[in-house]
Amino acid sequence: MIHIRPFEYEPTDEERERASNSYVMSLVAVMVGMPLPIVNLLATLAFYLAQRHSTRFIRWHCTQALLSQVSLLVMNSVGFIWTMRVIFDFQDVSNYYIAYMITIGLYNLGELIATIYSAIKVRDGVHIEWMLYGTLTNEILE
Amino acid sequence: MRQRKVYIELMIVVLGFLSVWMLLSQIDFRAYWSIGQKGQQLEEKIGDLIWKDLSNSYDVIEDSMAIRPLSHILKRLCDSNGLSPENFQLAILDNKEMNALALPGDRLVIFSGMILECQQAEEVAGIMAHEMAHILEGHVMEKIIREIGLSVLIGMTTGGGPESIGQMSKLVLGLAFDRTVEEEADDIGIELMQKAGIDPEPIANLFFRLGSENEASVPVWLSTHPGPLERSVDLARQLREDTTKYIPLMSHEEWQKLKEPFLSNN
Repeated sequence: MIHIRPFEYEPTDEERERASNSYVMSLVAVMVGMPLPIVNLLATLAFYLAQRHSTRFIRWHCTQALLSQVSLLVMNSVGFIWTMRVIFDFQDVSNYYIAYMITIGLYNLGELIATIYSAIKVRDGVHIEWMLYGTLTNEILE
Repeated sequence: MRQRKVYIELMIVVLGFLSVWMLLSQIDFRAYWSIGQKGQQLEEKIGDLIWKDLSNSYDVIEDSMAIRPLSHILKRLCDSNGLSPENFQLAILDNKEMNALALPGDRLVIFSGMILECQQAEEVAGIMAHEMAHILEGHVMEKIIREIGLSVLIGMTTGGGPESIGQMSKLVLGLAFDRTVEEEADDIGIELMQKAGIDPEPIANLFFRLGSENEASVPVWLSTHPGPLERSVDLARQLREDTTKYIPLMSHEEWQKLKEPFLSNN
């Protein structure tokens, strides 16, 4: 799921810090206590745009962080809309709904753990590649 | 090669998500956490509170001679539609107000004024079918929650003062549903009647007759039901294709005789 691979070069301390911050940005919504699915993505996107002319190490990790937020946005938005329909349209609280909310809860938790892990490791200069998002990042930055 | 890896990993992530979701869906969380039951209990509690307030404000007609024919109509509507009559608690309140309402907890309340206004049994059957439709579709509870808010409702059921329950009763008495909900109740009510072999046309006539009266004398039941004239036209249009020959529930004389107990109460 998460692979440690050697990067093309040894990043400097400043690069490590900025690359690590890209993962920290995606924790902003959790830190400010806002459950809306778009906040994480906006914070990560803003940081990505600010770093898009930076070094390859920083750009790489900003891109990976951003891509992981996009998939969460999709999952969480579906959950948000479904919840609004349950509350305001009096849709049944079905087992499918409960199972979906638990599933996205697990994925959000998994992503949170992976993000914190990545933030710590990248700060130490370790190059972390996530399954799918790492591969996509390599494809985009080729 | 890398593109192929992306597609494979994407499939793994998507399938992994769907697998977890489907596996968890097999667990009956609703039963484990008694989700449906808690909602049902809240609804019944609210219905009991409102009914208690209404029965304190109005006399409840308990004369079996008066109630029995209406109970038979209710039973016929239920039996023909695969519903259990025990699920609907019919109650008649002694008041000249022309009103009928559905309470949470499946109670169907008709005021004697409404019964006296009806010119034939099919009109009362239509009113009952309409209110049954509101109960079956859960319209009443939805509307009350929207108007009052769920947290307030829970507060009322766990320690609300008599004033707040009285306000809730007043709200239910004058509950105004939107047009979509009323049209849905009309459609379902018509279906209930047709399956029970009861002619639905008189209910359209009732709407037309009462809606044509001047605004001051429009009964409460209709003042809370938007567009009675348009709805009577819609119903009539809908029923134009219904060529069934219905057998009347009872003769005009039988109906007038049935209304006598309500006349003496009024």
